[in-house]
Amino acid sequence: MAAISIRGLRKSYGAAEVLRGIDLEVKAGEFVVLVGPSGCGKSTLLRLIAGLETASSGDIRIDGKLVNGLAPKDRDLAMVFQSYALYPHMSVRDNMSFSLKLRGMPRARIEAAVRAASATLGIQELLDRKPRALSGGQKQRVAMGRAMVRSPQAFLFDEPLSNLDARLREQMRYEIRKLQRQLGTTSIYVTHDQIEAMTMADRIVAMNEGVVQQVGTPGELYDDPANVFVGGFIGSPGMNYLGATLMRAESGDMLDLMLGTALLARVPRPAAWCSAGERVTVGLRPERIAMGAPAEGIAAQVELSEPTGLGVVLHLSFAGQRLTVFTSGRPQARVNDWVGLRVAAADILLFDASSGVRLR
Amino acid sequence: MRPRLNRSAHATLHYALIGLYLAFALFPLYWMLKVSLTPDDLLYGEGVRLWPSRITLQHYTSVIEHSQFPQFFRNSLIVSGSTALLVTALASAAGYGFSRFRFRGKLIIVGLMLVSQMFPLVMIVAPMFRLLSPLGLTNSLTGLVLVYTAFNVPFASLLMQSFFDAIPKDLEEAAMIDGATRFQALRSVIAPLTLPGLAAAFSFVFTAAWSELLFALMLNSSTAASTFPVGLLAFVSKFSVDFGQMTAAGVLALLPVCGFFFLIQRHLLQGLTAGAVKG
Amino acid sequence: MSERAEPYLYTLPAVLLIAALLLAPLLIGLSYAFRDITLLDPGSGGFVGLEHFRELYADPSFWNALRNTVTWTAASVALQFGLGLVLALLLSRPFRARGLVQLLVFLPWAVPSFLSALNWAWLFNPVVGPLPHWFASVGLMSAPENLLADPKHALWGPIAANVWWGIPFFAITLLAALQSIPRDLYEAAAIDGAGPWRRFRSITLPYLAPTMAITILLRTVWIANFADLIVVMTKGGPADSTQILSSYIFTQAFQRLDFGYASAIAAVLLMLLLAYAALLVLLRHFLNTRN
Repeated sequence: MAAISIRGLRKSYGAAEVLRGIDLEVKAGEFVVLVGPSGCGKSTLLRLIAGLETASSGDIRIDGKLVNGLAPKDRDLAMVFQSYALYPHMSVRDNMSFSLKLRGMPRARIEAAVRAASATLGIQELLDRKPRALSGGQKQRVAMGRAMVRSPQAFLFDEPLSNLDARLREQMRYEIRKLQRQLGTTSIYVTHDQIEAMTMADRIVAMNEGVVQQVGTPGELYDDPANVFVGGFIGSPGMNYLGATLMRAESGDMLDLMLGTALLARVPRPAAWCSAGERVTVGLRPERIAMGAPAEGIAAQVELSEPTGLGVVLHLSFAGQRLTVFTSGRPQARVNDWVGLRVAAADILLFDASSGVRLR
Repeated sequence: MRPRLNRSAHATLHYALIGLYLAFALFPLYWMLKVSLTPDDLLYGEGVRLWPSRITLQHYTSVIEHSQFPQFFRNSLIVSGSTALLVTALASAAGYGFSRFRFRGKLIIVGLMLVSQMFPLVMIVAPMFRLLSPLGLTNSLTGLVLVYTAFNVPFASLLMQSFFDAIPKDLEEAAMIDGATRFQALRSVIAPLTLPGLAAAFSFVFTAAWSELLFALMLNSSTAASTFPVGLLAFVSKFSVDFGQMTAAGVLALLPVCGFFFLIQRHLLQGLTAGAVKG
Repeated sequence: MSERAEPYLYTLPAVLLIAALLLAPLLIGLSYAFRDITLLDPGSGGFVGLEHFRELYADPSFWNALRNTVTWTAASVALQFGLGLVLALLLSRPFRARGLVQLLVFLPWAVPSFLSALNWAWLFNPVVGPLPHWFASVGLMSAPENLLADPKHALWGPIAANVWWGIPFFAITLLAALQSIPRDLYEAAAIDGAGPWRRFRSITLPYLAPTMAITILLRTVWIANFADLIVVMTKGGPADSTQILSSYIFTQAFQRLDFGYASAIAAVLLMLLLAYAALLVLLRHFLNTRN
């Protein structure tokens, strides 16, 4: 169980810079999720930690030791691949014993380790099978077993659940997390699925375009996003972003937040605010918008209604802008109805209109 | 709309054409076999019959026991086998390198390999002779092995590359994270999976080396170092009327390569088409 | 760092061997074209400039060989490709015993080329072979004679052997390409009302085109260089009627031991092949940009 420290990490492939200076501290025993869209650099970062690629510049330390020049085999890490990467010509048992045999561990100890790991994962009956005779979920477990037997300093997960169907994915999310808590091993988990990030992580590292956008607990990223990217990436259905203006109000410290000519709410003045009439981007979570009679708020018309069982996603339009509202339970409005929208000031997130940075 | 009748006519045509191709492909070989089994006295009289009235194994016994063919056969076996082994080893290494690594000069090297397949080999007969002669490598099986290896490595490397390309990189990476060096990963994890490819490359090179005539003719003038093609050709010019023995020798020459072909034809097809379709 | 050196460790042995035994001799061979290298003459080795090329230009055997090369290559490639395509189409549809048929029909490819040459030589020989007698009974010949002894038609002997030997190669490649065409396309076309010929023209041909182009290019070059069959069946005779450039090079080198002249002819052959390849690349580029 080790802490992992990354300072100023950069990686370029020729002219393309994939990682542009990553700083990250992973505490021992922590479950950290790297999340972001395809191409953001999360897999590259994981592979650099594993030693499968070499960094262009920057340091990687595991348990305080600099590992930049070390081959993967010397870093004492275990990795679970998206494709499982089980050795096709070996049985499950041999797959799990491979790394221990390489180390010259005595046979009895190898067998004991394999037995223990397979018991924990519930794959004892599969030990003599070959990978092609296993289902997706079983392969997933074997891949984890292979990682577990080594008792490594840290686990690395590279989108391990992407190839599973939705139901299996839910189940495996739970199992992986439970297992990790049980073993207490430091884990870095890469995914593009924000639900996996939210449900599994101790801390989330949101990445985009080779840069860390925000690091925090799931709650922090949800309630207090650092920029437009994080706000939009976390949470489903996604955050509404609207163009608005801040106007001076009668009482000094509060400002009028105007959507076009309609007053949305009175909000506290952000520290970085400059002048009246300044344009800002407003972030509103669909589940935080209240709907009432047309006169009770900003008037909008329902365009589309998507019942999800859990609730209803309504798509509305007003003054040329679109937004979604999520209400739990049964639909409260039908298509073409007019409703009035209200938001509490505390649920309004303001962002700089050009840079997207959060205005606090 | 076509009438239903055409479907069975279609099928008959299909089978008929296939039958024609089969006949065309097998007839020459069949004929060679037939002549080899025809006794001398019937050879000129019954020339064009489809099967002799009496068959004999006499030609085979004289070829095997009373001629130099066993030696030619042995030389060819040694040369083809050694070449195939050497090429398979070199080409696997190179093919693996092309498949797994991005490195400076890769494009040039692969390009060179492709180009080397295109120029007439006849061109280097002369310089090759002058190069090998002072080294004592003419009239030697070793010299032939070296030359054949150089000829076959480019194609075999590209063939092995396409086999390696079909194996996901994850497997080596998993092995390396598990504690293996790249070479250990190659040996324990990847190599077992490329056995079809290795077999295909080996057979292909073996056959190519077995069939090679011009360089064997050029570089060897002694019968002691002659391979089968050269020996057979010399035999043909010397004894141009002993068809029985010649065809018997021909059938014997066929055996190893046809044997290989039957054994690995599925894998060979796989490998060739993977490489060929990629262009 | 040994990691950077890894790819070179894997690839260099092969590359060094090729450089030493293929590329170096090639360059040396090219240089021979400009020198006097006759093996039996100890005084040879001097630089003679373009003399070989002048000799070549005036040599009627050279031009004859050039003409024969064109005939040989064109006929071989056309027949191999055409018959190979038909075979591939026949094999692409499943039928009973297809596996066995495939095996047998591809067998000629495994036969060593010299054996194929001898085999066909025996087939054409009126003493032991059936072909002359069949030709005579069908009327193609007045009496059973050896085709290979007739200067006007001898070249067709090696061509026949070449076609027999070469059909499987085309058939295998085209079959693989045919089998990689997605079934859906044919089904969609059939639903749209396209008949079998239309489907062949609009789906099969365009899909096959790249494979066909590459295969034909490579095989043309290879066949133009392929002298084994001719050397074995006719030695270039009778009266040079079956001599092609590469077999001419071989007889010059092997029999006259005039390596200089042989290399000059080889240099010309190489130029022609490069020009051919360049022409095709340009043609392809032209066709692509037009689309």
